[in-house]
Amino acid sequence: MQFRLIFSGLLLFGLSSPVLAAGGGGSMNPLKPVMGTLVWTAVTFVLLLIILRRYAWGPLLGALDQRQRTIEGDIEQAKSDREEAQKLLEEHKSLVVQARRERAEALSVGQQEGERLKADILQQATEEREQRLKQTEEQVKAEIRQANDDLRATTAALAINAAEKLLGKTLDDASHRKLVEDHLAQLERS
Amino acid sequence: MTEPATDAVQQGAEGAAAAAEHGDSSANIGDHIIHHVMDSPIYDFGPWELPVTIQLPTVFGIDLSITKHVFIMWVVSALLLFFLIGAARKSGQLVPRGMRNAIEVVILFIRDEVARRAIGAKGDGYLPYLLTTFFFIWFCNLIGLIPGSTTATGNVSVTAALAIISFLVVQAAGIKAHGVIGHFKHLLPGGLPLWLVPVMLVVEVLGMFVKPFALCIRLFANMLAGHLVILAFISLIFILGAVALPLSIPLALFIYCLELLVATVQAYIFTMLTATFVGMSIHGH
Repeated sequence: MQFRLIFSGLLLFGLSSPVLAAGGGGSMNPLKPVMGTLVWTAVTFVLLLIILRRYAWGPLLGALDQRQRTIEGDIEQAKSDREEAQKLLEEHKSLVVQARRERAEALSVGQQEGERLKADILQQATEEREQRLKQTEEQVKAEIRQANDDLRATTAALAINAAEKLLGKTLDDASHRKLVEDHLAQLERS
Repeated sequence: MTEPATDAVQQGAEGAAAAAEHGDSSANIGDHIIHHVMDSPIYDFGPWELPVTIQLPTVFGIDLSITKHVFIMWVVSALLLFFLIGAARKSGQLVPRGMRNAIEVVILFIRDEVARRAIGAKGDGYLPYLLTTFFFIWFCNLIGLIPGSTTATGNVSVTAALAIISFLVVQAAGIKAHGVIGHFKHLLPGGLPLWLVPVMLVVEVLGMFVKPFALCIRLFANMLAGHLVILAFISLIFILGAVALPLSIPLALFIYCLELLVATVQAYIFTMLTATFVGMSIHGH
């Protein structure tokens, strides 16, 4: 800019000097202020300023301010909305976690219950079986004993009958029975 | 600025000046260039000339006739009113469209980068003035770049008026912030040795007037210079003949493109400096 000013000054001087030298310079000197133009410029500018201030700058600057406020408000709103959403999300997440835990708990409780029940039933069944088995065994043993006794009695009676027939005489029932039974017991032992 | 361009400018200037000393036809070219950038009561725009002149009476020794530059300022004002009020008309809508988008970019730049940065919290109060200044100078600069048009900001009277308004705004800002006495007390920095007071007083009072004077001359000289340089390049063709064509046309085009930048930059500088002065005036030393 500095160079430009210097050179333009030179140029101005170079161009105007012959004109000024020619004598008609008074009205052709661009450096000489003209009061009329100055006054008109001032009047024009001030009028323009007053009109523009009223009809252009006021509304335009107001609109700019209003837009700025609107945008700021919107951003604030968006921020608070987001925070709220974040909070809700956190809440939901914790709810889900809680639900999962509860489900797992319920599941494990059920499982344990089932296990326990199974064990109980199993044990009960086992006990019952054992008991039945024992009962049956005892019954069978008693039956066997009974059968033995019956067999022995029958055998003794048969033997006595046979002996009676062989000897032709009736043995004294009681004493001979004892004899046979002793014998039979001896047989059994051996 | 690139060196070759400035060299060429210098050569062009010397050539024109040298040629001007040789004969009448060359002097006519200088005359032509000056005539082109000068204000006149006749509305001649390139080959066209409006068939009217508005001659007004002289009041208190001031000729109030509407000159070409005043006329083009009114054209600029009409354009500004049309575009800016047109953009503001639908300002109730939250989403800006069309022209309003383009204008809002500039408004936001002036508001955030100029007014609020240079003046601070009170900057918004000076926005209407700063915005009007920027748009007015900018449009005047740009409309002057249309071939056949004329640059009002290349007229020292116009920039002087703008600078005087800037000066008044700066003083008013200081008075509003500190009161009349407080404002002028601020001229002197505090803690000054007594013997320096008269010296500093002179310096500061001078500075008070030099600042707007510099604003006036900076804008005027920049706008005038660009046009003079372009015209000088074009005039080379008339002085040297067709030989100058390959050099002068590209260079003139280059300066023209540069002028597009300068038109914006100078409007920005004027506004920025005014805002800075207002800021200094409000915040003191």
